[in-house]
Amino acid sequence: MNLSKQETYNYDVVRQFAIMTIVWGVVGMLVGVFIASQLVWPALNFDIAWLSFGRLRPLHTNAVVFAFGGCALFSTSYYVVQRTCHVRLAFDKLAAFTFWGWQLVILSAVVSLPLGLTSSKEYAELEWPIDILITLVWVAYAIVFFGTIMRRKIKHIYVANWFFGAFILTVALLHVVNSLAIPVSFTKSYSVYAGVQDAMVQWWYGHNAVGFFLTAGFLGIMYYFIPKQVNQPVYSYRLSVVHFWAILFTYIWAGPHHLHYTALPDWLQSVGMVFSLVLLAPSWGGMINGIMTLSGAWHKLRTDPILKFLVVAVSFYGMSTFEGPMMAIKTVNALSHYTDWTIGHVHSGALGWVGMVSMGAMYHLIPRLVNHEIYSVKLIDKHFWLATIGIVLYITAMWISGIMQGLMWRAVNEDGTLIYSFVETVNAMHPYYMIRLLGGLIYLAGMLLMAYNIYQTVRLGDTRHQALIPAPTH
Amino acid sequence: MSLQQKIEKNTGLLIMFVLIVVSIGGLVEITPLWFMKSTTEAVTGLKPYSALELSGRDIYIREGCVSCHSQMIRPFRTETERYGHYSVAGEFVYDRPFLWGSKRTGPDLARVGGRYSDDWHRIHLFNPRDVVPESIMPSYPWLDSTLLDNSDITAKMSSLRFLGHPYTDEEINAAAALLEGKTEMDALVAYLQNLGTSIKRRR
Amino acid sequence: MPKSSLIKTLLLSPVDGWQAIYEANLSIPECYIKHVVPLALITPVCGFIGATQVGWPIPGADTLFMTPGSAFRIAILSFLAILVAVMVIGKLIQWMGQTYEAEQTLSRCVCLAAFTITPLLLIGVATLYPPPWFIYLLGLPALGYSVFLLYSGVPIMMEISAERGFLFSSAILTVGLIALVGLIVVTVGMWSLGLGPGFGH
Repeated sequence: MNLSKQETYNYDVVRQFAIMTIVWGVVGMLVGVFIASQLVWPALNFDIAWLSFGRLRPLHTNAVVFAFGGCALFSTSYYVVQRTCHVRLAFDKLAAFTFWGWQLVILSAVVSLPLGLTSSKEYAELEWPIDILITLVWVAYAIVFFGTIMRRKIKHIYVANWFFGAFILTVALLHVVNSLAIPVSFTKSYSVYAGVQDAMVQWWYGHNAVGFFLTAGFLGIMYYFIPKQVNQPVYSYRLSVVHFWAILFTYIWAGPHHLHYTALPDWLQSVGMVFSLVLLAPSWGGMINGIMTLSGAWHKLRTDPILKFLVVAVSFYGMSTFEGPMMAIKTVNALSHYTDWTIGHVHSGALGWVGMVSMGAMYHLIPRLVNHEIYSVKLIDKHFWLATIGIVLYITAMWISGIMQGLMWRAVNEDGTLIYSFVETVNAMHPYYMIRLLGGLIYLAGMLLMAYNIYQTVRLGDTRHQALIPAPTH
Repeated sequence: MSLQQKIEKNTGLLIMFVLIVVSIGGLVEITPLWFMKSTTEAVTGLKPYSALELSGRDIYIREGCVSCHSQMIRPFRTETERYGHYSVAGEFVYDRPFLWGSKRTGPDLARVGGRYSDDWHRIHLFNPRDVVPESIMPSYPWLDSTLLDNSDITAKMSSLRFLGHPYTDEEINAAAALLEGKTEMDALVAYLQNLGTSIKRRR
Repeated sequence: MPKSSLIKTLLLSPVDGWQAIYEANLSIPECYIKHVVPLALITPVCGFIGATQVGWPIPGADTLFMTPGSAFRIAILSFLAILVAVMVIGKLIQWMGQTYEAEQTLSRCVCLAAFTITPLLLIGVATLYPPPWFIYLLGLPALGYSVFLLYSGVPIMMEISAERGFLFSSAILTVGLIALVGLIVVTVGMWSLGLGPGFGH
């Protein structure tokens, strides 16, 4: 069937990003499992520079957040904006540029990070030439996304698109400001900020990378795919309005909770703590909307394992967005900062929320993109269980090791001298690092099942499938 | 029509309001840091990193040491007991980027300077388990056998001077020659031995 | 049916067990006196004995013990925490019931909460040997079984279909996760106020 481009949605770029989401998911998690095993058996550093933990850790974080998470966001936002606006994605060529450009960014990361070309700023490690490429891709993304909205045939901008739009705009701001640096060579630059100013800018960026990339963006995914999957409207429009603006305003302030009891001025730490606590409410607005929308779909559960992913994703979202503000309380933070508890918290959000909502969305999306039902519903179910068990092992191991570390570091004898040397605390972590590794392996195993399932689905499907844009009804 | 309704029907308004709302927190939290004495004044006697120390710092960054080691001692007795005087903002005015870290898989290094001998550091970096058998730190044997690349030191120090570090012309011009024949290990050890030494008291 | 065989049936044959609990229609005081209080005593008592008599073996040093004073304090607090948690979660279950068209009496919701955590309360006996890895090894399967009991129990106790029950159970689980985090945070907060464990040899 020869359809003119004007009559169809652009599924090509959506498909490309969706497939790469799965690919980078496997890669990112594989690197994660590898570095986790290095913490159990340091011999796995192999005395090779580009395999050492310090160089690979940023590869893991960048791969799971920007490659896996990024491609998930690109594919879903491009899909959702088209389908909710009833119009083809604006600027085909620019959209294609965002795909190839983003893959180039990721490949540049894969090459440069193990080579030690890094700024060392967390989640912003990529050096300045790649930063420039990211900016170009991102500007193109904004033009494509907002350009599509401007061409919409539906008057109201759907709620998912507010979240996607906010994520795109804010990430641009965060990236540009935090990446400002003076290059000294093609591969090296110095931050324009120093010391405490750099710390504040970095964690304004870092926390909001979580808040906007991993939260607002993925709430956009939730606001489309949950109602679609359950075939019900979003539970509360009013709640979505209120929590949208509240999240946007509040999240930005939370950065200083990464810097409690450091050399950052006290008043700033307190501001960060207060706003982090306030953040609980708007975050939970999203959780409530998600769970209540899902609750209308109880009759579909028997046949739909994707719903299980979405339900559990929202549950972990609720838990993490409670744990975060709790850990932002200075008293709690005094124990938790620098420990594995932080790692546990990150991964409950990353594996539980981000991972599972992405998986749910991709299981929904990819069969539609290739016009073929999923190869195996049973495998989705198996994946669900592996993912859940993996997460539980990971989090519980890190809770125990983290709290234990915090306690051991502050344990004193009656005369005030420290009980434990640092390496004794390292030793105590060993069994929990093993359990964490096991949790990560199980989670990765689930992801591999997904990769297989999706591969078979795409193989049997039509990779050139196009969908008609509905004719205007008014 | 309420403001929300207006925004929902107008892309430009949506963009504008989003940008306004997300800009506020950053402006309030970040801007003051350039105008406070405590966060802009160097501690007494603080010098910018020497050519060798700077090269060492860049190796610390390259190897990702900040992934496992923090450089920020908090004002708790149990922390100052273990690591030394708590860290103050004025010590970090020449740290680009900052290296406070987020995780202690290994111990804090803010005042590791002078705690161990140069030899201890060399053996430890070459293979940590030679001095600490239960260590899970990777080995860094290549540092000893790799000569420092001194080709960009002039550019580095000039850029830092542009950003406000008080290097003299003599220091910058002499830098490349000073690094001649030095290994990456020499540089990293020099950097580590300098850490935290600008505050002399133990507590 | 006598209380101990309620537990036995529940653990060995969850559906029958829940059915029996449903029919027993215990009031809140009955539920607490016959079930929650006795089981909630297990962890504090065993934990106290474990912490003060068995201790934590440290390779290359004397075994570490908790001071009886701090262990007693923690035992009391954890006992109270269990009693409070069951009530709070029971109340939240009742509150959420409206969403799932599963409105029930508070006593039924409290019984649901109370019997769901039976495996976790019973495994408290593991605290007789305090090293964390041991408690963790036994605790995780107990946790898994409690979650299983939750999902089996909700449809029966709340009189709703299995599908509706699944979603309701997931919501309760979320509440449980949040309560768990809250418990951890309150614990850490208390430690910072000096109500923490004290150690000696």
